[in-house]
Amino acid sequence: MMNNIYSCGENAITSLGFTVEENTEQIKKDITGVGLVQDKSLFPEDFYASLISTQRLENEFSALANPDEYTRFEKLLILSAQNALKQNPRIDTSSNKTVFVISTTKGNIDLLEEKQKGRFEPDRIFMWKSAQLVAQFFGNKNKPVVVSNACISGVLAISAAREMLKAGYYDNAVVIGGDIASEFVVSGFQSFKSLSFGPCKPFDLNRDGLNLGEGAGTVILTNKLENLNDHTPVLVLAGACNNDANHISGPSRTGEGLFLAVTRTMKQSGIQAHEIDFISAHGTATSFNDEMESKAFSSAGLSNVPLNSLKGFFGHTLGAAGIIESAISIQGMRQDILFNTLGYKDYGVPEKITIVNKLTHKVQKNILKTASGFGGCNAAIIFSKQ
Amino acid sequence: MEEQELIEKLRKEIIQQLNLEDLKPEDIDPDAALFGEGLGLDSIDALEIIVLLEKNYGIKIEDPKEGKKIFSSIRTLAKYIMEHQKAQ
Amino acid sequence: MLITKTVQIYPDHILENDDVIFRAEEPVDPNDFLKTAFRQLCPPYPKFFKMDKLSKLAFLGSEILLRDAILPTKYNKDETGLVFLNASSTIEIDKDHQNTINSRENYFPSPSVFVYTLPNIMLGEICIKNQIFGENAVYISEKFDTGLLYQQVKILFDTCRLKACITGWSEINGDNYEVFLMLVESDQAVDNSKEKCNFDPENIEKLYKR
Repeated sequence: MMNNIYSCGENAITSLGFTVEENTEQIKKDITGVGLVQDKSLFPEDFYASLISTQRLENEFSALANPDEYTRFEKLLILSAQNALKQNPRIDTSSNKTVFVISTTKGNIDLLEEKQKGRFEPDRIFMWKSAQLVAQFFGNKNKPVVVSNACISGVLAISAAREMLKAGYYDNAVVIGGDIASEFVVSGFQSFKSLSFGPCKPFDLNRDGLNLGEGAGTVILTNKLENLNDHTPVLVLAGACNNDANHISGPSRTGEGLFLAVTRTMKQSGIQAHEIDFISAHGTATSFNDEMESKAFSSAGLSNVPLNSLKGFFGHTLGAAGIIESAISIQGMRQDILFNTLGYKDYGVPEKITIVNKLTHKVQKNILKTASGFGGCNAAIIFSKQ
Repeated sequence: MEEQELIEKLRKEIIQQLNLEDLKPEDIDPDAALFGEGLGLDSIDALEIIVLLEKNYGIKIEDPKEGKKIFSSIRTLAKYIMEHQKAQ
Repeated sequence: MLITKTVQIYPDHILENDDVIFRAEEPVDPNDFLKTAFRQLCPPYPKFFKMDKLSKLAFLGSEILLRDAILPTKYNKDETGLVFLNASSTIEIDKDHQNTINSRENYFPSPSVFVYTLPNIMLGEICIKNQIFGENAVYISEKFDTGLLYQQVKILFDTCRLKACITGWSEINGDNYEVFLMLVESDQAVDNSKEKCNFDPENIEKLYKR
């Protein structure tokens, strides 16, 4: 059994940038990547979302491989992993002790569109196929592990990878999350009337829904000290996942599932509520989600822990969210800063939580990341600075 | 269309749109609560009724909270449709 | 860890452990097969008929799996979980959703269709019905992967996060569908009289191929 599991390389690709540094530079200036989208191929009406520059994606990917041979989703995953691996050349992706873990909600779903028919082979619609291609790209022969569990996929993927390394099945895990903006997903969320009419406002009194975002993120895990790079080592402590057992699309009104995930994560990690320095919440800015989170966090004794949501900066990136937001929060922990909850102005949730409403200096030793999703699922994980 | 005729039509449409498989139109009391006690519909059903209104009657409802008030029963739904179709 | 029960669903028959408990007389549409089997084998649950085919499959399997299990009295509600493997995600209902948005003239995306376009919803439905609050995960794999399933479930038991797990394979792609579910329980909780075998890759393979 291996003792410590470390995060030894991170990446985030969003509308704000193609590295964690690029993203945090914009975040520190309160610059958002959410904007008005007037693209009838995505939705008949104008809507607010966070989209990645296709031109930049194609250009950067061209340096790695032929962009015509990969889908948008695959390009995002590969570029994200490549950028993270660049930070840590010690990781041997071709080793059989390295595994790829992919997190996504809908993968190549845009291939169902009429205009995409025949562009790729039929199997390409399946996530296992994309995952195989990504692992192969990096010379890895192990079967990739693909997690598809709604919006908690990212946190779940990091947690599952952590456990596989702790149990000694592998030494390293390249955990990549990604989801694209597609007409499929935009129209679906619109049918739920859950899209905001402007940039989203997490935890705000006047919040009116979420913004969709496309993105990819990578977290590289290792159980080998010699694989750490020069960044301050960050430990990945335990994670947990619990179900609300209440409704398939609405969160529990009591927040029970998230409460269980958070308290069990703290227990498994040996960290108590008063030792948590910061919470990177899910904060999608829908009426019910944010309300539920306030209930769960306050029930878990975390009312006074500074908490933020990053979704005002680059929207809800679905299968990538847990990984992108972990990557950025880990960076915040390394730099002793808490990022703003862009879009938040007036307190709008029933229970007491402490919302970070500006860039703040704070030394952090333990941070909690949470996510919640359709199907009543909730996940949490703790990262710790040595 | 007369209110009663519309009620008959709505009962069939609701059963189909909401996959209320084991119900027959006669089983739905036009004055019974659609949400909460009566038929026990949930938030997804409320959104589906919004889709039904747009698809079959051309009536758009932007705010789902407004919707729940309108659809307290089949009869209130029928009345709402008749009012808004007149206005068009 | 022990496998205390299994259920298998195929396009023409259903197995509960070794017994065939339902058979279709001739090839039927998946939806008809599932609805008929459900009505015959399970207590009424109107929500079943709102589910997509993948959730119907998983739910039907779990209803049969759990019908004589006494999970609520044996375990705390967060000690039972679900780990499912699947290949095609929700491709069937995905196509249905795509159809509602293909034409701008007839553009009516439906929330009750869209909500099922995530493979973990089938787990959510099982959790709601049985008040299961424990660990949930769906892994996408081209074929049923004994090694992956064994590894992930074992980790959850070894780290004391679960004492019981409904685990297996639930998959549908066109007219091809298959469910293989196992109820796995920690040794201490299982009494000697129950039909059981060790939860290990060899036994999983043997049962899957039955």
